[in-house]
Amino acid sequence: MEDNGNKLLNLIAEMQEEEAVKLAREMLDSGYDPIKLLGHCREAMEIVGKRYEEGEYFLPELMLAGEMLKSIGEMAKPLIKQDASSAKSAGTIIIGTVQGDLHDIGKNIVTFMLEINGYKVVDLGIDVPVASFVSSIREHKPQVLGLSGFLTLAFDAMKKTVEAIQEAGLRDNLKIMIGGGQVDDTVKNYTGADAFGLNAMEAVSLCRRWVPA
Amino acid sequence: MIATTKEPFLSAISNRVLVCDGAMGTQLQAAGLELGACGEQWNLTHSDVVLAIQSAYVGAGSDCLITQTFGASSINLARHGLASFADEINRAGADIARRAFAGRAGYVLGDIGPFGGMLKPLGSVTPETASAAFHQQACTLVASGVDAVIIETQTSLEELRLAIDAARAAGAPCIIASVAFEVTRNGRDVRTIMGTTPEQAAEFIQRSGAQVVATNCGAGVDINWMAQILARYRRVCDLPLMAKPNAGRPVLENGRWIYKQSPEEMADGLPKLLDAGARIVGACCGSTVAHIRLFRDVVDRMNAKQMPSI
Repeated sequence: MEDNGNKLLNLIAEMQEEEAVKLAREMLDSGYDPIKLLGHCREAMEIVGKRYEEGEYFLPELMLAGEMLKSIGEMAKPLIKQDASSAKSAGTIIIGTVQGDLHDIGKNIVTFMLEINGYKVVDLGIDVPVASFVSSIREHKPQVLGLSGFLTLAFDAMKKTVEAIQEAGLRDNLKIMIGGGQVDDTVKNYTGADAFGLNAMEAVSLCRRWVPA
Repeated sequence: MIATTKEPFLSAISNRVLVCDGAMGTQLQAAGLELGACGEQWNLTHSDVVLAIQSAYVGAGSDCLITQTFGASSINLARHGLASFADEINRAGADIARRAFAGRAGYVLGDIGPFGGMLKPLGSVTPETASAAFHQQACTLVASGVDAVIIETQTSLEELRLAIDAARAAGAPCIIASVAFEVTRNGRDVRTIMGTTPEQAAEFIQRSGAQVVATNCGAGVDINWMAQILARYRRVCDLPLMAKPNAGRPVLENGRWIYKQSPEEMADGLPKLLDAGARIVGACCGSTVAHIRLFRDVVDRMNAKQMPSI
């Protein structure tokens, strides 16, 4: 079975969507540990991320990888919940693409990576109005908020969102991370966030630092 | 339409280098357009502002103006609840550009930008929907008398193909296909966000039947990178080339990307584009009338050198 884990990892990293999803299904059907299986997906995603950074993969590969993660995640996650109802999540994270921005590829990958690292993620989707972030924070009381945006105008929406959270008195016990486009320290300071991440692994590292799993 | 005796666009660029215009989007923002608002709507609501920007480019020496219709496909406009105004906005865009020439024999290039999403299966828009939107936009621009249709800032060859086919079906007198590249993360190459190389793009455009191969905008792409892109185009295709570089690489200031390359710096780099074979040169994000004025001088000197001696 170990070999199948590696095989799955390679199929995902090599963009063999159909075969990867088929193998994952077979592995789960024959009782393979779903948490372990998602671990292989995470490792594969790290390879995909590295190839993207190195200019070997481009947007289509990231999107295809996102699709594979989604399909496999949908098969594996229900099995985990039945299996480990006693295991509580490490913490709650709300994530969303800010108002005016419709990009969700990066956000979806971050969501997946956080989930398989044990966090409960509330994904508010794309083009999320400031008020929805505020009301969702009231409802779910997350430890971390992830604001995603690819367009330059997203910086303003991020800033407005952070300001509204502050005004609502919800900022104090909340860590806010931003990501999606070309973010850096300047953007972080401009928006009032606590940190920025350049890829999904950095988002996971930030959450691990803030909310140890 | 006024009948003119001006030389057809393609014949003009075979005889001399033409100067296109500079930025529109960043100019509209400077005039008060809010980030995220629909700039194309200004063709109807603030036509005087659009006209003033384009008239200033003509005054600075632009031979060609790109209509203010970048995001005026019905798919883009639908995001602002304005899809039903698509024809009106495109028609107004072409009319404003023609008026900006104030009777001068300039060339109006009808602009079609990306629809702003991904095609299926990567995204949610079907090729049929995208084609229909491009076709509608191209038909209005052609019916409004544009001299060419420019499909610009494209990063996906699939989408580019749909737009080129739509422009051809609409009877466009000339089709310019312009691709936006970005510098790869290792800083050593340029590709589109979809991974397409300049060679692949140029071969594809030539095969698809467009008449001019162009490049514009692009993250991290300055005039030097653009000269390299043109050189790579030239290696694989023999169509006329066009380039519209940004005013350098943007720097982030107060949450805004600011383009800082001065008119002098850009004009210094311009001969590289001309040497690489550009027959139409303009400038993209962050450029101003001052950039185009200096481009005019450089191009005039180049054209004078190339005039056949009698």
